[in-house]
Amino acid sequence: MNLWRHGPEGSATYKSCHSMNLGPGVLIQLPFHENSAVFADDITFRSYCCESVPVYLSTVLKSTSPYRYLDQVIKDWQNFIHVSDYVGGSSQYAIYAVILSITSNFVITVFLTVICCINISGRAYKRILQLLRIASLLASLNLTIFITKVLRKLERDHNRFGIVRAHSIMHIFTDDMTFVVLDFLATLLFQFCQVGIVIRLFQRAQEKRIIFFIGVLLTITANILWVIPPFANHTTKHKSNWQLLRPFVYLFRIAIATSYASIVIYHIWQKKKLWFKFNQMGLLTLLTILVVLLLPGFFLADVSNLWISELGEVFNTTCYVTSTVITWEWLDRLNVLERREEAQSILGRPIFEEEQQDYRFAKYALRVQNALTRRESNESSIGADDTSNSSEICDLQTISRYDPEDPVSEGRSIDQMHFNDKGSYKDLALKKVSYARDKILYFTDQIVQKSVGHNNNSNSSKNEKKKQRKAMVRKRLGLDRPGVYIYSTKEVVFDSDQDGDEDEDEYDDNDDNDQNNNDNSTTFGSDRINHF
Amino acid sequence: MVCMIHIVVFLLTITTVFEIFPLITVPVTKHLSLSSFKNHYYGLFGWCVRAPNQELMCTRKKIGYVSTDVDSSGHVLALPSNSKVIVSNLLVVHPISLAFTGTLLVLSVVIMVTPLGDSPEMLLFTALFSLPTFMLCLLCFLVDILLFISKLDWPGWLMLAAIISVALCCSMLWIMRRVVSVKKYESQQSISHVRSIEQYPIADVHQSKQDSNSSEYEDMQMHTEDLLAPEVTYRGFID
Repeated sequence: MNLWRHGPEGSATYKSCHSMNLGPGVLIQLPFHENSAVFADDITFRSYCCESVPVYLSTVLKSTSPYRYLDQVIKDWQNFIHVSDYVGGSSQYAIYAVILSITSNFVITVFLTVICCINISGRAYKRILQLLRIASLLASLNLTIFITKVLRKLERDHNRFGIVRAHSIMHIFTDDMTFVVLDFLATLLFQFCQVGIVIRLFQRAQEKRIIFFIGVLLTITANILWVIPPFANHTTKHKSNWQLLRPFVYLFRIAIATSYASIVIYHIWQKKKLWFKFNQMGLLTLLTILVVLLLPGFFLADVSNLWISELGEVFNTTCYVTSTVITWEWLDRLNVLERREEAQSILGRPIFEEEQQDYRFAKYALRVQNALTRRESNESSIGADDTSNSSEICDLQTISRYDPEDPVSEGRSIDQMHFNDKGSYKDLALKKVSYARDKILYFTDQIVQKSVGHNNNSNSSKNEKKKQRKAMVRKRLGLDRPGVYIYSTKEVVFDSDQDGDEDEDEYDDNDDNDQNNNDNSTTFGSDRINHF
Repeated sequence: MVCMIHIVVFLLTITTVFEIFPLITVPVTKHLSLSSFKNHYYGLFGWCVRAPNQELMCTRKKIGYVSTDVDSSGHVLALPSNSKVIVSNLLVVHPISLAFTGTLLVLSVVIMVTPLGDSPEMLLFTALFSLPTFMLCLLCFLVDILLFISKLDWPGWLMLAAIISVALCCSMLWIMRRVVSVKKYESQQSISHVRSIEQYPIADVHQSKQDSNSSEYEDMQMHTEDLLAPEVTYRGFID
């Protein structure tokens, strides 16, 4: 796809494609007479050419052969192999290399799609995982359609003209609207998934919100600008007006991919302690670094015409698939390790100042307590048969957004009194503005929370039996109900406290332990259940 | 914290200087160029060619090269890459990037010298502003690579150093935002904690000891227990 380059057409001219006068002195065997030949007085010869480019056989005449090519044909051959674009005879654009690269991209994409659909699971970030699966399926479907079209076209060319050229494939990228549309959709979804991955890398609620806003804004801008030129080319006559937009958006995409790579590599560097804690973690980390650098790397290769730069679109799709799916898998494994460490430590999950401001934990606990009190009273009034299964989850976003005086927050405290005073116009306007802001933040948090949950409890290597057993134990212990947590107990004995009250120590221990509603960090053997 | 903002200002100053160099390339000055290739010299506002008499002949000063806009001797533009000439219009990101970096430098200086540096909102704004600055800096380098590939001269390669420098500044600004946020929270906590403590002059305590009035002393003990008690205590109910 010529985003910014001059096309290869007209870059070389071959004289053997034009008629050459060879003069007299040639004997031609007659086709239906075995022992007769005709002496030709005047011979005109023209090489078999396709679109002004000569077609050469893939076989070579050895120097020992009594026959030889015409001088002009040999001269054109030398020209042909020195042209480095796909119209020329450069070995990188040989049909075998092109087919090999396309099929290998196809195999990698399909393989990662299968891994994404079968092996990767996650309950806390279900939406983003669904998005990742849809994007992978779209990419696989797109490459399947593409490779089918390519092979059919090559077969048709071979049957009709007796040649197979890489040249004919290159037009499919721009001319085939199915490829353009599916590629656009897959890339858009992968970029949203990458925003989700970056959100997962950060733990603070405010940073998650900022990443969500900026990431979505950048993705939408890049894709809107990307989609304009291909459709504009088909609808308007002034193609030159759009020539600048295409390379700009291409560079913009590369800039976004480089930023993504920088953030992921920075995060990998921060977690260097965990690289070798797991058998395959070191290898996976190395692979992750490589795949996130693939897109910027291919840009450099593309610009410097290092390899099959004209096939950049196929490589782009594969780069997006690998840089998203493999990073996701790496994050999953890293989370398992982190949760394991947190479960073994005294303090557990780190709590940030924004979660502690305005006593949000205490207020949230009161809210849960109120809700439970209310539900218990409801249960007693309705009857013993209650099949309601609330899906409330105590997480960072809910806590940080909860404010009993906020009308947005659900489950208002039942002990509060409210006065119906209207206030001044300024107060009213401020209230409206803050209400609108809170609404936006609330919905952002809802999206962030539902798509990329804070508490990550996915394990790609879980087997089904273990999962079912865990679910059964959770149900038996009542952990599927909201506000119920298992605390890993740890005896902490201080010298100065030895003569203190034992009961008090135990109680304080329980308070110090972190709330952790994580599958991977809970230990069911000797644990204790707390109920807000 | 103070050290970090000094480093940010220092790095941004260097970055600004680095970004000024591409702006003063040919045809603005005669000695600097973004790229040189086959006797052609490329700058931000035009391109030049060295004549046989060693004189440098340049085009008009404008963003974006025009292949027909050649000097009187009839030289034709030839870019080191196979790019179309229209792509050179993208060089406009250089002055935009410089404007953004300059603004970020001003914001950092404001943070350094005024009490606004303790405001999380100001730091958040500056940190947010550093993101488009980084993107534009990166775009500048990508455009240079796209047009001139490896034929870049040192003012072009300085953009790579500028990217790394802005990325470091960006990270440090976000770290500073976290630090200031934590500090603000801690100071709020300590103020509210101090307010919640009932204070008694030491003289009264001494007086009460001297009086050895048992009932008053018990009261005082109760107060001192208040002092030691945590401000907010929350405990769950154990089933």
